[in-house]
Formats: sequence, structure tokens, C-alpha cells
Amino acid sequence: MTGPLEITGIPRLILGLATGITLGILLDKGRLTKYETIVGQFLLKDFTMLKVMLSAVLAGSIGVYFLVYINAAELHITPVIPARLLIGSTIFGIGFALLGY
Amino acid sequence: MKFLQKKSWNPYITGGLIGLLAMFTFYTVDRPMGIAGAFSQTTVMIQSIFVPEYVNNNEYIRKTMPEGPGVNWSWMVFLGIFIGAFISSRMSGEFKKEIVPGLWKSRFGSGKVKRLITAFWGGVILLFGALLAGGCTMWHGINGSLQLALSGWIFFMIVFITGIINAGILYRGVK
Repeated sequence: MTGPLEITGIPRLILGLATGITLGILLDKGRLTKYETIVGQFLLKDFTMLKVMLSAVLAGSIGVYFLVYINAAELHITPVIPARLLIGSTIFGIGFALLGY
Repeated sequence: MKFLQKKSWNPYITGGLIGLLAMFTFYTVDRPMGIAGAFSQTTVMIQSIFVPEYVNNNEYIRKTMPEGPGVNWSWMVFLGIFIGAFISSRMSGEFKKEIVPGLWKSRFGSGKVKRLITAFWGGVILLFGALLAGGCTMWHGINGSLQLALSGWIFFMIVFITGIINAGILYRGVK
């Protein structure tokens, strides 16, 4: 899993850091780093989280499938293991509402 | 850099940029972003200092971390998120040390211990769920769903349903 560009070693770590910093800025500017946004979403009072997530899914879907179409990337689909997925996501949602981040 | 000084950006544009960042990681390193895995990776990194034999013989660790528990791309993303969010909130003046969020205070009072215990166990439950489900909001919810993976959409929907139910119970009777 090194990718078509075969970036390895230190440059790969620096790339990861840059990706993470960008993601951190985006999550903060999207207000997803706030308790009020997360819990407000689950209380159906503030739809910021859904807006950000669905926009990311839409843009990313078009982008990633375009890359697959031009043979520049591969999909990485996590297979469904029903019991683990159902119980895990149920537990995740409960914890998410308690933590709020 | 004036755009970094804003408190928040339009959610649709911010989301779109996260989508483009996902596209970027598929292209550059051929893998989706995940956050929850880096927490268990950090635990294993600490364990490998004190109990290396346990780490070497643990089947779960061998399976989920074939490259070993060292610092890798995913872990650097995890580290970067803290730095990025810190830079962003410092530049907008939003950064603050907050233990009890305003919304929590309006329902449960300003007691710090109550909030800290809830947040701690909420985090434990959340991470346990993520490791069981094989991903978090970033891995399944965004990167799984954008690949139109069934696992991603199921996760997305169940997390929303249980989150709504639990928040409803926690804040029942509050307008």
C-alpha cells in the first residue's frame, strides 16, 4: 500500500503530518471540534455536522471515483462483518453523544 | 492568511475540502484517512516499551498493525490534526481551555468531575466501538461512504440513530 507514487520513508511521514494539519484546520473551521456542534446535531438543533460530512462524501466520491476511472487510485472498501459492524457502530454512537467530540 | 482568522467556514465548502483531501490521500499514499486506529497504535507504542513480549505475541496487534507499532503515515495524520486544530483555533481566537461546555452546563451544572468522568467513559466507549466496527467517523463515515461502501453507510446511519437516541435521553425535557 505505498500507492502509485511510491512515497516511502521520511517524505511519507511529512506528507502524513501535512495531511493531518490540513484536516485539523478543516475540522476546526467546520466547527466539528466543538461539543455544541456534535451534541447539537444529535439533538437535531444544529445540522453543521451533517452538512460537512455529506459534502465531504459527495466531493470525495466524485474525486476518488474519478481517480479510479483514470487508473490513478484503487478503492479500499472495508468488508461488512455484520455483528462487529452493528454492535461497534451502536456502541460508537452512544460514546460519541457522551463525549461530544 | 486572513481566512485562517475566521471562526468558521461555510460547512458545505469545508466538507467539500475534506472530500478533496480524501481524494489527495487516495492519490498520494493509496489509503483512506482514519483516526481511531492511531489511538490504539499509540497504546501499543507505549506497551512495546514496557511489555515488548506481550506486543510481539498478541495476535490482534499482529493482525491490525502488520508494519509494527511504529510511527507511520496514519499516526502522523493523527498528530497533525492536533497541530492543525490548534493553529486554526489560535488564529481565530477561539482557542480556550474548556472542561465543561456551555450546553452541558445548562443541563448538568458546572461540576467538572461529572463532566470529566462522562467524557472519559464516552471516549472509552467510542474507541471500543470504533475498534469493533473497524473504523471511526473518518474511516467509515466519510471515507467508507464516499467509496459507496456498504460498511460506511451502515456505520453512518447507526451512529446517527444511536447518537440521537442517547442525546435525547441525556437532554430529555430540555428545550
